Amino acid sequence: MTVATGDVGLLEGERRSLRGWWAEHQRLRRFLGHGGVLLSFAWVLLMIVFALFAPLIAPHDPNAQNLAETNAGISAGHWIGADDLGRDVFSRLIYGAQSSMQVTFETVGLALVLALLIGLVAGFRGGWLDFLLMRGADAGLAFPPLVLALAVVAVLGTSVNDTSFALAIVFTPGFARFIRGQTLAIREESFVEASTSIGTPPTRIVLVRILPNVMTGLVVGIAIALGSAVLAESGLAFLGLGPPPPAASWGDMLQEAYNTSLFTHPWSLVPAGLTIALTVLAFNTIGDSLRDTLSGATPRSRRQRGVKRQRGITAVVRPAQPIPAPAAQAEPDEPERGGAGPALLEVRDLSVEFQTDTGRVRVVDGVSFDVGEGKIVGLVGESGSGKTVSSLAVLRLLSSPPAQIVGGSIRFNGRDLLDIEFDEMRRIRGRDIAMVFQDPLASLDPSFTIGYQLIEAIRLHENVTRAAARDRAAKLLEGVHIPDPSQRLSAYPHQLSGGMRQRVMIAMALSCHPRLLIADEPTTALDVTVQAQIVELLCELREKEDLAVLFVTHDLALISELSDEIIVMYAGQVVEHSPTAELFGRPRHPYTAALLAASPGIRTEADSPVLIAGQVPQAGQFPSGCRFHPRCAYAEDACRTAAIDLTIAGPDRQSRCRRVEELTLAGVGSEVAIRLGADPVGAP
Amino acid sequence: MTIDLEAVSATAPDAAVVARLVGVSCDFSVRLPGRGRGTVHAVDNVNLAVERGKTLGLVGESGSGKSTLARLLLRLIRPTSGQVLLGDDDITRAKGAHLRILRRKMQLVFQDPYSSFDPLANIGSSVGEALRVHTDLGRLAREQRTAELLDQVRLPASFARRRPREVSGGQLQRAAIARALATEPELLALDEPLSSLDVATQVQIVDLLGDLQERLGIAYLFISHDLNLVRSLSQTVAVMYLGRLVEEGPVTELFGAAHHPYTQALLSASPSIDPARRRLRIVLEGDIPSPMNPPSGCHFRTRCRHAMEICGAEAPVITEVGGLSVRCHLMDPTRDQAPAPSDTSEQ
Repeated sequence: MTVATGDVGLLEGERRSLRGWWAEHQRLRRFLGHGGVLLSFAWVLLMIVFALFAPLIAPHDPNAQNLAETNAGISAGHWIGADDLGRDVFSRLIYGAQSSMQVTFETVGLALVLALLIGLVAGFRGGWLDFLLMRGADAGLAFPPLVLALAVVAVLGTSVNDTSFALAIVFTPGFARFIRGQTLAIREESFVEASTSIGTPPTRIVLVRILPNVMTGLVVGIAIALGSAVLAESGLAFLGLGPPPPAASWGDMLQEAYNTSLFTHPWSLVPAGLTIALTVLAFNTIGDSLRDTLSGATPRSRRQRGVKRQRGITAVVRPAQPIPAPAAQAEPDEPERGGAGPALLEVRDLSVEFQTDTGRVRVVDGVSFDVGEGKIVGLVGESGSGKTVSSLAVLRLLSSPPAQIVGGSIRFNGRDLLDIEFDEMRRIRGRDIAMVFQDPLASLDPSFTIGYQLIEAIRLHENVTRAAARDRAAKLLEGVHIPDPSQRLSAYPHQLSGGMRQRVMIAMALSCHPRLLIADEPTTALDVTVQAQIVELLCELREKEDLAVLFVTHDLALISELSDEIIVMYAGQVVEHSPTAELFGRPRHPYTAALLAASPGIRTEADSPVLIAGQVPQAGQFPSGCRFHPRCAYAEDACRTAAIDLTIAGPDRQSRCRRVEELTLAGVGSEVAIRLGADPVGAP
Repeated sequence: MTIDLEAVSATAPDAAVVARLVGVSCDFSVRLPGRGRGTVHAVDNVNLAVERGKTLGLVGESGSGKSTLARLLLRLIRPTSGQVLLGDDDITRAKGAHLRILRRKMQLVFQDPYSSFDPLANIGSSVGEALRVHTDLGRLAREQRTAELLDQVRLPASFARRRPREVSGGQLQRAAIARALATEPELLALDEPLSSLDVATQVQIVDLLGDLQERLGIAYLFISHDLNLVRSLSQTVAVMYLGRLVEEGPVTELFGAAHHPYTQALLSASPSIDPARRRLRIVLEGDIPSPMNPPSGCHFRTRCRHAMEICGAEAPVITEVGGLSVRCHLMDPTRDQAPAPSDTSEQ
């Protein structure tokens, strides 16, 4: 067995890590770029500085009364005036920050400690303890928060610490429930089971593995809770349950202004009111932005600059329309088709780019292929090869941003699908070209019966009555061999097995007699036994309905059973294009040969499985020259420099390899190839 | 001859066996929407032994109880009845600190490498977790040992500082193997370790696993739905259907001439490049029934083309045929003649 050195993988890894760091950095920038986050941070910081250094900052003693300046206006001595007792409002605001900030942070801190204790224990341990703790939390949540706080303060007293404690009790149950929920979810993750399997003690699992993961979900809640705590503290103070006078507090200031000067000097309500509002707003803004950053949403203003936005259809930004070359068809990009008319689907030079944090990345680069009427064409490659993106681009199903088609043409039935608008594309989708995806559960709406969804699909494209559509739906289910079709119509997707759901998806795709079916790994999520059923079904449909299929898969053994032709993709390019039997009999590209040798179900003429070192490069990091050269056993110096074109490598065959003529690569042997249907004369 | 293997396996401890299940069953109670509670018989009276330094392949459709079986063997869950033996020790009732020490001898590698690593911790801390828990090595010694472990799975020491999401699936799966090796286990359960990886990456990991087994003498319980992979890695294969083992035996015999109709169907269903083989395909009707209420008698009878009257009435016992242990009424020697095993060999 050839042993991988892994050198390429290493380099790859280094690059990834650097990119990881950039991604982090981008995330930070994205977070701070969120509207007003910097301002919010500045404001909160200012309040904290006020609270910590009030005596140094305040221009006056907050309690110094000066009856001569009662309700004085703005002046050099009183920046924002004086109150009804002639005390400096600015200084009182600064001192008010002391109790406000202290109560806020103490409350949330204390509530967090209590809630973590309760939530982690309840969530991890479960059982009766969980039951008791959560019913306690429910009881706490059942009281209106402010009433509960009032009651606790009434019992404890009104010092700053008492207020914090009272509010912490109010905040704890909500936090505890959230933490328990998170703990329950994280406890089921494999990495916790891995720790258990290692023999890590439960307390360590909770503290080292679960707690940090709970905290990441909690930061948003903490920011929002800080805002609520500011409001609650002011509320209690306003009701007279704040720090005892003459200590300054925002709520208390508001209350005094309300009592004494609401009608005489309405302006006096503003300073404290505005301070409270701004502080709460600042905490909430930070919370919102944290949520967006953590959930990966991008602030609107910075979203994917330079990509055309389009709804429901992939944007196309082509350089000047390629001149329809008349007789210049001899270029190797053009698959030969023995003088026949145009194929059903003709993809030419398709290029797709994605906008990423680090710039634009070309994921599909100059891909060309045909799907003829009633033909099954396999699009094969490893993950990251661009096969799925190419297939989605045909129906323009990639969302813009981030995707955009930057070149080529996709002619279906003689029309260029890249020229049409959304409305027309919508009519083509489902009616002329249908699609089946890997995960049927994700493609079916869980809240409607499959009958309803089938009938809708039929009626969307055809003007038939509901009853007629229902009959058709039942027939379609029968056509994909679902037992009791008319009863199954009233089943919900979750009531069906994975294989059944995939049949329903195929039935739905076939509902309007499309001429082309694009199937993206339709059997990957299924068991082999069920996969065999689906393959049999597709072969039968091709016979009966003359359906053309573009079958996207990574499984060479599987596609050998179905396809007429195979296109092998690597790093965004087609590397080999060949009739199925000939491809297996004698691959003409080293990557195809390596894939064949690596496929566990395929025995080749090669002595032993060939290890392909390293992995598929990421889009945007494709090597120069031949993109496969770092992993290729046959690479020469020349392969590393110049880009390689797709060249003709036999009848109906193309290969993107410089050495195609000199290399003889191991296939499955001519005997099997002939059984597969290879032309005995053409077979090597 | 009909041998009740249930009884045989429970006897005399065998030095060549790392771990074994003796008559193990495991039921789960599940809440049904609006219909009270039901019982899932995930594993039903299973006897299975994993030999030292060898690989036991475990195959079956999803829902057949393969993963539950692995977790029972590793005592991550406790059986409802039966015994779990680690070497000669009965660990069925082990718990707490005692069980945590026993865990060193058996480790698990998961299907999805990304969810099996703490996303917030660097790879080094996860790989070295066992060293922290089970040894009193200092920080430097731990780091050095972690680097050695990573080297064993052909990863550079610098991987210790990476976060899981910064590396590829194949690289992370290797790190998962390194983490499992940290406790110097005798048994490694691999639960579909390759199914989320590309073929080229699969070959790299298969090669690595073979190499590690040769050097360290670890036994593998290799769970996969990909029969071709099981074939290339295992010495013995067990086939599971709805919680029961239906056929078990050496890999050549099982892949060469399987006797159980389910095994035959399963083997013939895997995609093949050779049309000659494809023509022999047995396509099973329908799906695996719900383990909540399996068919009476033989669980497979609802999809079996040889189903007879007796199959619904009685559960078949294990019969030894041609080196294989088969649980099927067709193999019953009191019947006139069993149908010849269909040729399921490849190419």
